[in-house]
Amino acid sequence: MRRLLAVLILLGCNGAIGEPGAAGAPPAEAMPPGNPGADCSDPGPGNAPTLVRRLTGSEYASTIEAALDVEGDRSLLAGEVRTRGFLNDYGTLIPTSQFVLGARDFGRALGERLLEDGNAWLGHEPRAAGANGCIEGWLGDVGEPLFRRPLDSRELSAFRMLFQTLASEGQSPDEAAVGTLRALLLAPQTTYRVESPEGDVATSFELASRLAFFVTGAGPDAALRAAAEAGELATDDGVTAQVERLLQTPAAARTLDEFAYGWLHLDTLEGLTPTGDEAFDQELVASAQALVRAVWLEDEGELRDVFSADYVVPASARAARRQGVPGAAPGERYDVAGDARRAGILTEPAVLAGTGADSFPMIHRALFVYQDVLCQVVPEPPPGVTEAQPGGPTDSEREQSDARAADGNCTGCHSAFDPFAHAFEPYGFSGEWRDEDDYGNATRTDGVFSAHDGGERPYRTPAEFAATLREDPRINPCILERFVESAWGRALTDADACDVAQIRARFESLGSTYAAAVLAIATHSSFVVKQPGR
Amino acid sequence: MTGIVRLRRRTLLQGLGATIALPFLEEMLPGRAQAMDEPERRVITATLGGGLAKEWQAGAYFDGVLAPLAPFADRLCFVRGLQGRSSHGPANALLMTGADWIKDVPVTTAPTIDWRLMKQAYPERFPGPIPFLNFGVKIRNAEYVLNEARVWDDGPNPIGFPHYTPNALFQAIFGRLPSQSVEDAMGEAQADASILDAVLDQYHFYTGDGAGLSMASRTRISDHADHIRSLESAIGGLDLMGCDAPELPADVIPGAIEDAFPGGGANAAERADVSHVIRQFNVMADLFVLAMRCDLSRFGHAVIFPLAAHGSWRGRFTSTGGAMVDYDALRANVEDLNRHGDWHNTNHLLPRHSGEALERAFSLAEAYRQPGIDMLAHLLDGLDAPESIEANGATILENSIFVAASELATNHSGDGVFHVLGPANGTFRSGLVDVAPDATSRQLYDTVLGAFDAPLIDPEVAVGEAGSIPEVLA
Repeated sequence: MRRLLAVLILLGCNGAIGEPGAAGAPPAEAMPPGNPGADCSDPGPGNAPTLVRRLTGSEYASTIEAALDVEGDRSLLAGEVRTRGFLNDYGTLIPTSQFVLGARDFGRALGERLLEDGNAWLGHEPRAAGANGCIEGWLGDVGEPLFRRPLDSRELSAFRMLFQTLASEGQSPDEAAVGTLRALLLAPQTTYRVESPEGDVATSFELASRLAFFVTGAGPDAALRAAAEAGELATDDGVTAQVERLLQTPAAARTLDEFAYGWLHLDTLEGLTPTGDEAFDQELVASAQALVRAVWLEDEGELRDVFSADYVVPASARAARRQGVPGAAPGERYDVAGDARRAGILTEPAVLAGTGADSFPMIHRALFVYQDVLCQVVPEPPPGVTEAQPGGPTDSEREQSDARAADGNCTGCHSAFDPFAHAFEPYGFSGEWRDEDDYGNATRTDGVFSAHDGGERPYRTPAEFAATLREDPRINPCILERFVESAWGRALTDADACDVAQIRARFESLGSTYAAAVLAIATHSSFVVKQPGR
Repeated sequence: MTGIVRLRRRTLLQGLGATIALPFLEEMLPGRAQAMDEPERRVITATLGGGLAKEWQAGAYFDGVLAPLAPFADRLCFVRGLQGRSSHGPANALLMTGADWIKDVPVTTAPTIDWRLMKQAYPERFPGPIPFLNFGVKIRNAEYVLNEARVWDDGPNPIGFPHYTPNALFQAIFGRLPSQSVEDAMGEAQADASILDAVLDQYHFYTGDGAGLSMASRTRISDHADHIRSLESAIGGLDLMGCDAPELPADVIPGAIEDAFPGGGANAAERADVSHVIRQFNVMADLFVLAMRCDLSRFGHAVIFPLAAHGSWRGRFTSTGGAMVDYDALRANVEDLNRHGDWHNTNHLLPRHSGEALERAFSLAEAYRQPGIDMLAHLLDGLDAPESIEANGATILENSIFVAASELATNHSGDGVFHVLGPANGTFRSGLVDVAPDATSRQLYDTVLGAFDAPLIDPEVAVGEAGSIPEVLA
């Protein structure tokens, strides 16, 4: 969807900036998120995750650790690449030698530790299971949570033969068990989400996997697999019950943390180390994630409430000081109602750093709100446009912004989105409040932004900005779109408009909360259908 | 092992001051020598992050930053005046693909020209135990990381990510860490062989008709199996290929690039030891060249700093072109650096100054681009060394389709983006080539593709333009 919009807007804006008659034209208004006006009479293609999808490193490790009740050395797994902030984009989850090597080393280290600990059989005693004896019973016990379904006879036979081969090569039963386990860990059934091409909809075990990875970032737990086996996922009520249960688990909270990490550009801190201390940076990140968790999971607020939250949840004493609440206890909510400097998640130091990560923080913070909170599309600067600023080299950021708004080459786009960050000029790169900038200019917090209805919305402080922004009806559906992308593991396209509109309708009927988003996505037909060829 | 001549283990790396001294391939691999009258299709590309100013390519081309490339002045084709795209996203989408950038799709959106050329020659599977070898060096970077990857598929699927340390590249080539003995590695490999066989059987099931997966899914599974197979064959050692692994210089082991930072790279304000970074790259380039000489891979890419790499240098560096840079002294006089560090920020400095300040900004930009040119020259040296002469009497560099390019030109613009072509066995001319003012890098790519009858860039995903650049053809 965004891809087409970007092309359309490029046609309307690219090359026109600075040209006669086009200067000052704002970016085209994007299609409302979810496009509720779309013609949905033709259901179009489904939006199921592709049939074969590699797990992310985190999903892989979490699945193994939960399945085997062990802790692996995640540092051995290769780092993953984020697309639009997220790790699970299908396009980036490609086979790489780094992943293969990392998975091998992860399994090898785990196996060595199991042998050292005398835990080669993982607490599952070899037991009789059918004609092929005890090893297949063990394989069934250990393999099912890894493969996210019962192993079939072909698989049982293949891995039993491996065990026997290893034993015939002189390995002890414990060593052979660990070797067989390592093969299970490297197998495509563990490494990939492989779904049967049969049928039009996901099987109950496949649906359980989709739900589990979406909500908890790992394979289905025993209760979910049991529900799948019992056919309880065939109904919306069954799915709803499982989603509500999963949302209460620590894994769901971690998955939401990961969503916030990507959406709020917190990954940017990994490279920039804004405080100069990585541990401190991570405490600021944890504080931002804690606020999202508190608003969306614990308080079950609307998604947009994260912008007007009147408390902070510092992860440490020094994070609290950076948040401007030096007396706040780590891990506890601290009331900041009435503090005009606060704007919910937008004034979390980690978010200010993550979204302002460049020489022009006002531009990038504004782009975050404009693009990632309101889902508006901004074209790339056309060829020939340089970074030369129309203002003076010692102008304040606000003065530079005003100069851009007055410059025919810049105003078309910058006057549309710059005002979404005017309130944050006093905040330095790592979230510290400054009454003066590096050049001695007084910083300002007032501004006026253009709302969804074209009306001007003035504000004087970050708190006023946040309260006004919260009323923008584009926010909830915009964040919902990011959840849909996260669930489907890919960017949305025009073909998704009807599905997204239907999901949005359900989401709003359920209260526009995080749980509503998860439920609306998980119970929509797009979550269940298969689309061979994808 | 019939037909295979084992090489003696030796220290091969120029990083130790020794010359890479592999026997000629015709002596080394007699089985291949007869077939080498017609060189095998081999495609090597290199990309330089950041901008190489148009001004440095004007006038006396090899007198300034580009001086390390002077030995190749009459051997390679230096294309001057190509139009690319401004700013990082569009420029990297275009780089080696000719594609337009699609916002929100940060991966380049079309196959790279090297992939097109290889796919045409080897439609089923790229040859060698390592179908693609991607390596490089970066300081630190936090964005656009996907653009480091090369495009593998018709979809936006990169084949893989670069190996950024000598250790990692060594492991990718030889299947073991440099610190591990061959005997230990072989022992582990033997122990793992049955496990990997069993795993590969599972992958084979899903690539076969029995599982009924779509072609796209099978391709992904098949690619994954290829990586496992590569691991397995690499573990088996180069006994299979007739090449031994060299010993890595001790000072690049373990070789994480963060070693170049005094504090381990924890702080973006830290400055990396420039000589360490260059040495890391050069050792990797030597390993890469060795892999090419041994025909372990015919398809590879060197990343000489990805775009938006962050960081700053410390220490001194003397270019093979003669320039000497004292980064500590330079740094002391730099006023307007940002959090990306000097390396990245010197791309941005140029538009904000005039007069003396502009000259100083150019000097800074030169200082920070210089190591990349030296690294490129080192790679070229290896590919062009006597030890890289193949059966037809030409070097790997002369026989291969070689394309190197910078991401941007002056000040984040696409005006005059640096490109250089290898002769490709007499396909392209040598020397400086000035192109028409509206000639684009995409046209150059289509010219390269067209010279080998490879599919041209898809007009539906590429910048709308037509034509080729015949001036570069021999």
